[in-house]
Amino acid sequence: MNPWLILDIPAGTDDAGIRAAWQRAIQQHPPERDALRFQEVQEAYQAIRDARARAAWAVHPRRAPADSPGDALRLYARRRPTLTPPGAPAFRAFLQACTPPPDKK
Amino acid sequence: MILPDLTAFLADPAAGPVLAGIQGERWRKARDAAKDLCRKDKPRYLPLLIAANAGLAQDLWNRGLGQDAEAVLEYLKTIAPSELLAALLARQAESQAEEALKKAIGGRPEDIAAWRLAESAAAALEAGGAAPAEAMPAVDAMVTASWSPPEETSAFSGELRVVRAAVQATGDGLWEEARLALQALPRRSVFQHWRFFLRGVRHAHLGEKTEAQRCFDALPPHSTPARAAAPYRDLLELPPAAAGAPEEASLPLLVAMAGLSPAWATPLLEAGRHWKRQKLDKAYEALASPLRQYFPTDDPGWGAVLTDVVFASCSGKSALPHAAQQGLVDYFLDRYDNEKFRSDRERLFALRFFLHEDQNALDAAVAEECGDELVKTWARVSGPDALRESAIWTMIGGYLQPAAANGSLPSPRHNEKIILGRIHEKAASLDRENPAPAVRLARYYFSVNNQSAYNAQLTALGKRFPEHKGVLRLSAEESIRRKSWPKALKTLHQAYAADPSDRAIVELMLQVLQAQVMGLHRKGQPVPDTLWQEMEPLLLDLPTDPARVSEVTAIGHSRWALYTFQGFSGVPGQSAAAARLAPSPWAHFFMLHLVMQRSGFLQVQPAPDTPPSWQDLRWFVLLLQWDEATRERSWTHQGDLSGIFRTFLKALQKKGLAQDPGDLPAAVQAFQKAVESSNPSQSGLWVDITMEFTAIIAAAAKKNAPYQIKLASAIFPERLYDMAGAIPVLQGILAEATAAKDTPAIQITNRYLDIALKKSRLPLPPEWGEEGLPGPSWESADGSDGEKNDDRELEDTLFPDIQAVAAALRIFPKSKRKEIKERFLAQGMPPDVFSRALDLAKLLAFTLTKQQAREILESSAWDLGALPPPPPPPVIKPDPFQPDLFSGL
Repeated sequence: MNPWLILDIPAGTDDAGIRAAWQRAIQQHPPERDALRFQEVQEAYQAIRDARARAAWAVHPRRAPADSPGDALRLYARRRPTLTPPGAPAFRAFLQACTPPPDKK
Repeated sequence: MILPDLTAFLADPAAGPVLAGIQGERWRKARDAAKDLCRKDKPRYLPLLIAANAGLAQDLWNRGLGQDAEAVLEYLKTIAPSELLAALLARQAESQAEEALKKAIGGRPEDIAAWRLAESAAAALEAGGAAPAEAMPAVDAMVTASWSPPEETSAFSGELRVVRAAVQATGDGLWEEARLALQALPRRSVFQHWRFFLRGVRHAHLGEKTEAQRCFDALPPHSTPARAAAPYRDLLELPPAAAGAPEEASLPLLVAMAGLSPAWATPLLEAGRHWKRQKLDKAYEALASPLRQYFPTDDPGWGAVLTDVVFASCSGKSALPHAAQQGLVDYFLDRYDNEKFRSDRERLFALRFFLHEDQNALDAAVAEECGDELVKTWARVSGPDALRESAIWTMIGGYLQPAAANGSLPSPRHNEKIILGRIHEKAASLDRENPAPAVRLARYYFSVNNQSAYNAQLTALGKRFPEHKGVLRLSAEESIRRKSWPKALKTLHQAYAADPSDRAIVELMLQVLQAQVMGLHRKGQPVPDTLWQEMEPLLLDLPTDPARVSEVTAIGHSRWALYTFQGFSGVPGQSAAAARLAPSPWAHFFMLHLVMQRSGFLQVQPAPDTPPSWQDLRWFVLLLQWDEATRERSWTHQGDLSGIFRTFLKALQKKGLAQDPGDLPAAVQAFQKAVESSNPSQSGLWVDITMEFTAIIAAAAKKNAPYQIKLASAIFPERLYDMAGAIPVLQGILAEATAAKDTPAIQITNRYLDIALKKSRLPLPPEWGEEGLPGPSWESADGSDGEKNDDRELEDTLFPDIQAVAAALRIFPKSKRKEIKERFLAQGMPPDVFSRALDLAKLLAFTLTKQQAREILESSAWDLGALPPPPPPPVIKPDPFQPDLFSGL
């Protein structure tokens, strides 16, 4: 997963901002609660902690964060700090799509 | 129909037309006929007029003509009795409600039927009964239908409006409004499961996973809310429910919930369809065409995630089938070749992808060219950046370095190495404050044997970055190369202090310590406890689960392996400690077996204060014979046994062969006997150990050596061919043994002397000339009566053939044996002679050195074709970077 997203900071954040975001993230995901997430945060910080690391991260190959675009979307939505309400029309359209048409008999 | 009782008119013929009209539902006709009758006799025929008008009003309601029916009802109010009027007014209300419903929901019969079903379920529930399960889809359809529910004509309608309002508020994220709306829903409602669903959605949005799960788990499995809860369950990483939402429905919802523009939904759906069919190029096109501003990209956000998914999915590490990956690779190649990239950014991603993908087969010149293009393209996209350019050259240098180190770069290698050097120099010069590329440059200089540049780089690095881990490691490796163990260890300790988590440094420290142990073993010196103790904190404790052992080398650096090794070296208590540390009894069994197998090579031996004796030679021979007698065909560890024997001989040499030689003649005789009676299938091992033994004994049998050594040398196979020459030697030994009153040695010497004298009188075969007597044997010298030698004459006749076959067996590999046989037979050797010769040759083969065998074959009458080239003498050059002590375990 993209380290900027894991630390939830925009590109161009300076070293101090990245460090602050990292500290915030490890407070949110301490190792005793979610070891995997903590590890992910640590790796993200190491990848972009300074200009040299960021340059190397930009250049080197990445791991695929998911197996398909659909899975990636789920992963991305899951990692957002909060889920955005979809809006009444989209929500209704979704519910309608989940409802089988009424019996014609 | 609500009509008054007309039975009184059945017998009245005048009422017939009215009754016929009513019966045939021809209401207007009946009314007109009734009016005529009323004009004649109103009191009698008024019920007929009321009935006809009542029927007409109801008929008009049924046909949706409400206003006309109202007019008829107004008239009826003047003539009809109050009971009938009340019934008609109720019917009127019902009709009006139905009218409103039809108007509201559009009048589709299936919708109206669903409404009725849902309403009846609600009524059943309200009446204290249970709602039928089959009404559930109808209830759900009422909530999700696009029409607005009619005005509150019933409790059901009211509840539906409440749920609709809550759905609306939930969709908009107005959680409090939704909560308040749901409060109006009665506890016993057919919409109860919607209450749970909407609550669950609210909890999901607020990140309250447990509460959301509780709500979603309470949903009826095949209801709409259960299906709709599926994407929420997925996002909260809850176990999936029985029914899921269709992808076409959930993906746009996910897009919205992820805070993305709805414009992503359609391309993602299309890309997903192509992806399922493994058409990655079409999936890419489905995304890149409509969304070229947002994909591919490195800017943090959804576009970057998607970019990583797509580009990494067609890399060699992806689990997708190769054909699917190749489809996308070909797509990019086509765009590259035909300059069809949509933007420099797309070109940049494709170039970066090509470089990563070809990393294992990169041609240096192509890599440099590709690097240049990548640097320029990236500069066009986001401006020049020296650090990034250095990272690009570092990455390319890293890709090329293993090929250069293995010497597998395509020719001309010299040019390739020059390019590689240029790449490393670019990486180092673009980021001078970074020691890492400079360290790689130093390693490059070393790999191309540019010692002066390497030394200069090492010195410069040491001055500029004295505390950098990589520099310290490089310096330590240099010390290891020079076998300056203390200096290497000191530098590695500094590197370890800089980064205690770097396992590579710890492994180097262990290698240095193990190399010292190995050195002491080679010299036969005891290993001081301090050396073991220094290793102790660096050792790993292996996990019980082998799947969690990340690197094979970790085994060699484990406490378990070290203790096992120490146990073999005779360190008290360590065998038991190793057994305790073993992940399982079977794992320990394997470990013991492997360490045992390798102990010869590793020269693990008993403690130096327990030197071997000649008795131990007898033990070795005895155990070897036991091994041979009980060995099964499939067992193969001869090489390891010869390694053990070599270790033993070295220990004997270290002690001094001339020390305590009293047991030597008997030991050698036992050895000799074992060799002669050995199983031909084990000949390789016996040849090896005979050669080893003969070589050291012959070297030790100097003029002033103890007579036992000289006797051992005289009776071993090297001397068998010179019986005449052996006689004076044996006579000298006899004199010394007699003087020493060494009865066993005298007996042995006498036996061999008898045989030598007897053999030396036999005529020499013409081919053998004056070089010595053909054929051993000392067989009668072991005290046997020589009955085995009945065929001696035949052997003598066949001896040249036997020798040739033996020599061929010695030189050619086993795989050639069939071919050898065919050549002998083709050149006229009778098959029975070959078989006989083969039996005898097997015994003889291991008394020949390969050099002797070559000479025999070259001078024989048999032409076996080209001889295999003589093996080069083994050169053992210990590599300090190979963990020679434990790593192979």
